[in-house]
Amino acid sequence: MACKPDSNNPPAKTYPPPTPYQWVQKPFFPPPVIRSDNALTVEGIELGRHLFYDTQLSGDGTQSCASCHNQALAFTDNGRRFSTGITGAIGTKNSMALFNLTWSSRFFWDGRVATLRQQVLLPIEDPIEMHDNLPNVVNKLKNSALYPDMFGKAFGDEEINAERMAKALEQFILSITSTDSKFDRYRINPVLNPLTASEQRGFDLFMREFSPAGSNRPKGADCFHCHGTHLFTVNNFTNNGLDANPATGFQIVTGNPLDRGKFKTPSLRNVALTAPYMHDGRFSTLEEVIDHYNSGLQASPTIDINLKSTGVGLGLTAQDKADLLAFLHTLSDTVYTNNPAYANPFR
Amino acid sequence: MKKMYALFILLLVVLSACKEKSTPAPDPDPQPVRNGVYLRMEHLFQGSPLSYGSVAWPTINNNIGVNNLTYYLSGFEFQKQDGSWEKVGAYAMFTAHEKSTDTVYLGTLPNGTYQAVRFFLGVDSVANHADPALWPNDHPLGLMRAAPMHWSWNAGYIFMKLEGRYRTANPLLDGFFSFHIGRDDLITSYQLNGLQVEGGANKQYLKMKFDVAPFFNTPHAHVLSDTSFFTHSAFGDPIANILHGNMGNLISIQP
Ligand code: HEC
Ligand code: HEC
Repeated sequence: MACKPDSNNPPAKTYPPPTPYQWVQKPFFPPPVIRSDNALTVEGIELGRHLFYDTQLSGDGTQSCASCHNQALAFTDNGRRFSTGITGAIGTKNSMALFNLTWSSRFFWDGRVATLRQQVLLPIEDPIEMHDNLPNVVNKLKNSALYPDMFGKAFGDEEINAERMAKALEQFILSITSTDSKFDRYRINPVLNPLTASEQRGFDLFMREFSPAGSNRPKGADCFHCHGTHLFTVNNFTNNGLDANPATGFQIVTGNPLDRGKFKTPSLRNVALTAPYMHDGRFSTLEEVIDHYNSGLQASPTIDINLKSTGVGLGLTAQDKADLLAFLHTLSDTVYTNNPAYANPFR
Repeated sequence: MKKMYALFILLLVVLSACKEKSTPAPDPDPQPVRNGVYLRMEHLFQGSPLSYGSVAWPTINNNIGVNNLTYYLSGFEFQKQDGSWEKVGAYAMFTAHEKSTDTVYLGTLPNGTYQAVRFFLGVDSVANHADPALWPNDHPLGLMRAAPMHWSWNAGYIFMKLEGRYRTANPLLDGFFSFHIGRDDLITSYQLNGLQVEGGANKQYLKMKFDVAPFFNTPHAHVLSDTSFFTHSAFGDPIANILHGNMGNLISIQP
């Protein structure tokens, strides 16, 4: 049993307690959401980073988490619509960006997992992803030169088990933040770091509500209802009008038909790096996404009430679309994509 | 994947057999352990409990259904029998579509009998324009709870959000409505008299009801149509002004 000390083993080596991780609080971001039974530590995060990049976690030693989550692309899968597992099997969902997940409380596109701790072990056993089994992976780690000491430093003794793997991976993922885009610098000091005129118009469109034709109010693209706040997601599950006959989505979690077609609203930070788009990667460019919201919304019984332009369109001009696109590009954060703290430790 | 998931649950069960698992999500509901005043709000439509998803409630010319009712109450003060006011200053967020009856802790009052309460439907202008990221994550004005109730870089918080559907002549073409009332000048003041609240070291429950029906017709009739189904309280938007005129008639004391 994983949790009982084995009496045949020599007395366990003990380690000093791990070092608490100092969270850097950035302006306009909420405080981190603490997982009280898995406080972030320097050693725990470092172990998680090693596991994230270690191909030993897959059945044939060829794949790690990073194979489908590439830091240079906000931890998405290299422009692929669907990810390919070690056996060549192809999934049905687009890989997801990884950052600012401390402020997220449900994971995967359909929200079917409630904690990162549960989430992180799933790819290892998924036959169309890394296709291994946990006892086997635990054994590989126990026999490595590296890991017993790293687990000791992170957890106080050298015991290696699936729960500790999950906690370390959770710590690493929770530590990944993206807070240094052009937009952030503008928010902190708009005089020193202004947006261009086009970006500013795009921002205004993004933040302004829809105005029906004939209204005397300025035009708005109404994105902020779901992609609002400094996180660029309000952390909800919504149906953004992709299909007249929507896929299951969040209904898989709640069993409620009113949740059909609802998916996790992704943060739009770094969105210029994460093509293709939507849970099924159906759009290959941001231009296509903007066209979807402008004129392609499909009405269905669960389409979000705030997509008020359904049927009539947002009425964006070519210039409006270019401005919106320019604004979305200000959300890319190269400090995060180049941050050595998130990079492959084996290179 | 499903099979693997089941396997994983099994693993979790095995693991948790020897290690206590904690529940990380903080419960926003106050445990009735502290002394002080609790506000218990019941949500109704013309006196009947609100139900969600169906399009059954009659308004001026339409039947409507409610999908989302969320609002803030703030700035609570209680009046003593000598006429003076005691502040309890709590911010309360009610999400009626999640809990039709909701109890929120307001705070403590000094000894004495209190005969009236006043408060705002909305958020005072100082808090309204403060950075929402500065509140703790479990605070009703903090981004983690208020994200759907905050206009990002616009005018602050949505004071009251009412969203739903309305029936048109052709039921296949049911419309939807989305009313987001906010903005400093659209705050609504309430004063409710005839209370019997005792201050001091005890627990007091103040029972109120929030009835949605007057929002559509008392005193101003608001007819739902293709051109009147939403407002985000932009300056100059007449719909927000009309509905704001009805917002003083929603909340009352429960006998
Ligand atoms: C074969 C490709 C692949 C591998 C390997 C992989 N992932 Fe993923 N990851 C995905 C896909 C695809 C999704 C979206 C899946 C879905 O929604 O069904 C995803 C989603 C996630 C999410 C959810 C993010 C959110 O916002 O909800 C996290 C976290 C994550 N992966 C972490 C990991 C970790 C940790 C590993 C290694 C243990 C890993 N992934 C390995 C492809 C992969
Ligand atoms: C009603 C809520 C809602 C509104 C309003 C909304 N979105 Fe979305 N958005 C979503 C959801 C939900 C998804 C994910 C849907 C899916 O994958 O099935 C999404 C996905 C996206 C994506 C793809 C992100 C990725 O990583 O794949 C982009 C880009 C995007 N939205 C941009 C916008 C823009 C620009 C606007 C305004 C014109 C907008 N959205 C308005 C809910 C919304």
